[in-house]
Amino acid sequence: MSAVSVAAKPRAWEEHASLGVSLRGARFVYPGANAGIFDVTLDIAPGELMVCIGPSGCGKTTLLKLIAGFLRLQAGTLQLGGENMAAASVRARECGVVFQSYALFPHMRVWENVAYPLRVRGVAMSERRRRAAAMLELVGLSDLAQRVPAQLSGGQQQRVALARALVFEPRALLLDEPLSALDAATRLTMRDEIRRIQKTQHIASLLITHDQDEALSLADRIAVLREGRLLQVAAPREIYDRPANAFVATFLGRANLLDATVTGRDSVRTPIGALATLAHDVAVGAKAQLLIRPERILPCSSHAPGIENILPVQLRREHFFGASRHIELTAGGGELKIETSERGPVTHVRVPREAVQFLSPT
Amino acid sequence: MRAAARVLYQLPVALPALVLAFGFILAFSSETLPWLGSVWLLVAGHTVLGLPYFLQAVVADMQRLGLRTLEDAAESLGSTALQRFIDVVVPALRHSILSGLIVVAALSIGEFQFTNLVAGFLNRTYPVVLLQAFYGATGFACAATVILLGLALTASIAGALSAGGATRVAAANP
Repeated sequence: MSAVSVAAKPRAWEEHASLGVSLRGARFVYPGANAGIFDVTLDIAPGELMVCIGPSGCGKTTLLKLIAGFLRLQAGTLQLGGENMAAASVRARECGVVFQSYALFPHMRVWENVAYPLRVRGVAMSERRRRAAAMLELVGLSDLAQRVPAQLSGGQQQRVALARALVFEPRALLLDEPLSALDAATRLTMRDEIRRIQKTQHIASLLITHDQDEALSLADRIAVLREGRLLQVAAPREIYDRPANAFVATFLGRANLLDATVTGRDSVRTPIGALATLAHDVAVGAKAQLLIRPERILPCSSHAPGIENILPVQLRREHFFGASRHIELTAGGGELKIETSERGPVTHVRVPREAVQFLSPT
Repeated sequence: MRAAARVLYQLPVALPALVLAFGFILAFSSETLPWLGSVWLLVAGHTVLGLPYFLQAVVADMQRLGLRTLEDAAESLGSTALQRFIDVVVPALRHSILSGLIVVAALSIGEFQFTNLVAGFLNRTYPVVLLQAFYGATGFACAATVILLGLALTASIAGALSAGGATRVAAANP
């Protein structure tokens, strides 16, 4: 159940971006506060799983509420499935919403919860039962159809909530921190389940989270939100390897950020020492901010002449994680975090040229 | 806004029934509102007295269940306001509504101060009958008191049971 083939489906949504969810110039400011979202433009194609991540208070839940209709846009447009929905009621928008607290109806059986969207649409009883059963089978809960929510575990309740949000073939699936109330082991299983189910339904989906692992492992694309503004929207690898700025670099993954002075067309001076870089077009003498991911710095045993970017280091602190070690080092007049699977003492490190990236100013 | 509403509906708890009764007498003995002595005025007064206890039970249950989110969920699933009320709000709150109603019924049956002042001896509620009986037939009064005690006990047990049902559901479904 874990291996969901992503490569099998071509990125068709990039060609049909007009359907799904299309938010343009969205603005919403909470009355009496300077918080909200400002000029957010975001497209989610059918079948795409967009993960919106950001620190608490960045506006990610506001974004979800604006799409679902619990809040109304103050400016901008919203299209769902190609229809203008900025002024539509929550009902008319037909978004399947999965809440952090599951929000299952406590007095209804599992299958009745799942069939509820069909009931309010006047679907006949037999049809309701059939479609609810099919949906419960998809989420793997056929055996528990007759239970009430209070008899289910958190992960099972979340599956019911997912089935209920999908049974009426919504225009979009919106998930508000769906995994944050689950324990660590269940969270990993549910992560794969959400991904699998979302792909079978081929529906435009927005998942809100503050967990970077969740974002990187689940998303087709990640949208990083900070203080109500989108900083970057890109595929997980792209966002990790080429973050738009220092905030994105530190928020997704661990990062060494270094203030540097450019000394040549492929060299810089930093607090940890002089470094050779790939050829760049920053003017000599200019200040720059550099990013070096910890896992790309390699421990090496001694100073080997003829190999560039080797720095003598002193150990400051070490965290052992079994498969890897997170080590904080002092190098020259600066600090460096590295991540390695090697077991020996670290006296020197090598920073490969291509591991040094220039960041644009925040 | 929410705090103001709360103060307003809880006011009758802090206010002696006596004050409410005099207010009713002043207001409803006028030319424009000459309703003093009617059954409906008595019912209205009991509603005001009972409301805080009823709302207390129901509002606490609303917050514990996260009724707001349940309603949001139902709305996103396509239900109208009426459907939400009938399908979600009332059934989800059934335990607290029931226990609230039982408590209020018990209060209302035993209420004397307000009833005596507003209704006098025109509409005789249970305690009013009881009071009159104590002046005459003591045996009847004792029998009536036993029934009142029985009613009070039944109401307490029923209230506790239905409230217990609500907490069981909530505990299993945090």
